[in-house]
Amino acid sequence: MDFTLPEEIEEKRKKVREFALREFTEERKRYYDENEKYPFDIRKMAYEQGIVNFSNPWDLLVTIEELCRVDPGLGISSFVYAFGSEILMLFGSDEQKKKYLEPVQRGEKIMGFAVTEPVAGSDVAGIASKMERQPDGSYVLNGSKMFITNGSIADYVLVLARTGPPPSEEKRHHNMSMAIVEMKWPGVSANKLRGKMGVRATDTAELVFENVRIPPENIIGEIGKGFYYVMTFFNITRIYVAAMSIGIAQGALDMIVEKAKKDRRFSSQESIQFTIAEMATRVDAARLLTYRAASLLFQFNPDPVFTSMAKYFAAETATYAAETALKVTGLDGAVTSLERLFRDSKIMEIWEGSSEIEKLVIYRMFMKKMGVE
Amino acid sequence: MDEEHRVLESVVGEFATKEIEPINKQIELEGIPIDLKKKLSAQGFLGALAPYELGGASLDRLGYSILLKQLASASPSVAFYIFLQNSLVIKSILLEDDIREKVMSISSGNSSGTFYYSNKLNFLDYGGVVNDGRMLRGTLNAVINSDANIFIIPDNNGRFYLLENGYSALDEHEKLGLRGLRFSPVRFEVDIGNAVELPVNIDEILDDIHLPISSIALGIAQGALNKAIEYAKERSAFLHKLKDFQPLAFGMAQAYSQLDILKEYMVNIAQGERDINKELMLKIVSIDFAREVSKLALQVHGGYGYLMDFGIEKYYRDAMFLSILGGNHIDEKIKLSSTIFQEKAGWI
Ligand SMILES: Cc1cc2nc3c(=O)[nH]c(=O)nc-3n(C[C@H](O)[C@H](O)[C@H](O)COP(=O)(O)OP(=O)(O)OC[C@H]3O[C@@H](n4cnc5c(N)ncnc54)[C@H](O)[C@@H]3O)c2cc1C
Repeated sequence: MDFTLPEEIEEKRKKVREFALREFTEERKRYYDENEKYPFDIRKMAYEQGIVNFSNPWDLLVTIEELCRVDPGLGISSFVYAFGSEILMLFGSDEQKKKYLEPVQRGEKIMGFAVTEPVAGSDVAGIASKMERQPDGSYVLNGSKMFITNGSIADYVLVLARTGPPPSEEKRHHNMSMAIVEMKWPGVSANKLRGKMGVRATDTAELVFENVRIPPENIIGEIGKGFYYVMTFFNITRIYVAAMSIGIAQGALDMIVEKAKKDRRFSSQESIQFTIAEMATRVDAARLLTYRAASLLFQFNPDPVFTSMAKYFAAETATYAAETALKVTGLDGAVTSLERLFRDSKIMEIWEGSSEIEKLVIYRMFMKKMGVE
Repeated sequence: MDEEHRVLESVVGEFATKEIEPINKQIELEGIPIDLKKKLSAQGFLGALAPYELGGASLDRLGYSILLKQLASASPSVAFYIFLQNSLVIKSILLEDDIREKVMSISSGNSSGTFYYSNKLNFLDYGGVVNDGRMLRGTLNAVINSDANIFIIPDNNGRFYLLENGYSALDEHEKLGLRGLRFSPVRFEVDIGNAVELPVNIDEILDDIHLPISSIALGIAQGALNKAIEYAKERSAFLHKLKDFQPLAFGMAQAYSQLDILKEYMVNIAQGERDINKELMLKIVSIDFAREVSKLALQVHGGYGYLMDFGIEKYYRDAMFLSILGGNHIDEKIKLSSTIFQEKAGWI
């Protein structure tokens, strides 16, 4: 067991930290947050300066941590343009990879991943969108999607829809499939959602599909396997959400440390010292859980128990850290970007499987390990 | 609770549903509209603590607590505004007989006041106003309700002055919560001859805010929890209503119980003989409680909880902001510890 990351990854961490501190200026953070605008310029800079590197997963993990430590809204926007790409990597055809994945990886195109619907979020098998097969082999998609990241700026989205009715109540997750849908196709529309509490630089939209014709070559993998693909995807991205959460928690801790440095009266009190000790411990625990889950995943041996534990615990650590930091730094914190970290942090407990859903996964998979079906 | 206060509770509740709920988004985005201030004034709520002849409602402690709780349940911003006008501004003005009439302009909604106590909130960078005997000059950071036209502010010697000119509000801070009120630094440059010195004892004033701040906190918890309960009855996942899942139902039931107990405690101490320690105890507990419940309520709403349109995320932000504006946690806990141990305690 070795608890150190390779030197080049630690070097990269430093480089990303410098980038974030330099480019995520107070004005930019505030501008994109207040105006709820996606920061195309920052995405471009991050790409051009080699900050975002999808080819090395450890590199990506520490990059996410360091970007979110300074500003989650701008940080997430810097890499989320490739959201969904693991699905194409794992299950896409060679043609799909060439046509859709590569332009995203080159930083030219933006992708989204559309599962959630107005009627169902946590309950993925409860979605209602339908893809119906036509005599010519193509499919026609009808339905709507909710809260889709990149929804109004994406060039294409990966959509989950029903390709047949559920065979029974227990098998509701059967007969679901995934397809690549281009946003410029007839019948596709996006409505940007405004008024998010946090991560306001990221784009979120509601999508509507009306008789959208999908050519057969845009179906991902096998028909009927969509639910399985989505769960496989979550088992990867939950680790990246955990990394975002650690970044936020670390950012909040940084703020208290900053105040402790400036204000001796503040830091001389034992209650403050204990707060810092507890927070530092929790941040480290979240990081260790995440790195273990990541290490297994990156060796192609993911463990859903560890992955969900990491996502659940790191997300709770993010909100705990932001709340605690604000509480103890008082108005000093409230007039700085700590208040933004606080608003941003809450989404971590909701997206990519809420804390409640993570606990269900942990229970089921843990009991399976213990020999209970 | 007697009949009179029960009636007040339902009247304020109805007022909040009818007059505040429908414009909540506008309040959050643009501030409290003058129209609403006029309606609050017509009910006597704006000058809740002021005597009748000055346009107020002369509410007792319990009445005032009920008013703040019920308003906060719909809009924490509106409740905080009323609190600021009454517990801080009107109370201070009434210390000086010659200027009593100014209370009238506040309770009628024609004027709006603010009172600066941010320097008491463990705030390093609060700025300051220097009194050189002729002028009051300087900038105060983090003034809440900074578009007021009546300012009560401390000078560098801790003496309080009321000013109605010579101020200019600067760019707004990012706003964590209570977005219905403007929040920014304010620059002052005013001839001392145009300022009225008030015999404000800041420590006494701050001892008096425990109960009203508790009432707002409990209102936040009540508003957020009611919304979550309603949502859990409607929304389904995995073929069941959210209310049917134990972790959600138990969490809300627990919060409901705690809220009920805290409300009862609030009524008791607001009715009984004044006990500052009990008020402080209630404040410390209810502020943390408001933060927990508003977080739970947001979580129950899933992704929708994160959107302003659902009217739930504001409780989470407002509870956090209230916990910052409600007092200095550490100083207050030292005070409470010392009372409990009956000697100096909790100072290391
Ligand atoms: C900013 C933002 C960006 C997003 N981006 C995307 C995206 O790009 N693509 C996408 O597909 N989705 C996206 N989402 C959707 C997100 O994944 C869902 O909001 C989330 O899965 C929760 O679903 P829901 O909102 O429908 O809540 P619901 O499923 O209705 O859940 C409501 C509450 O009930 C709880 N709950 C549900 N079932 C149970 C149970 N069995 N036991 C106990 N508790 C339960 C949940 O944990 C939650 O607290 C995004 C959401 C937001 C807010």
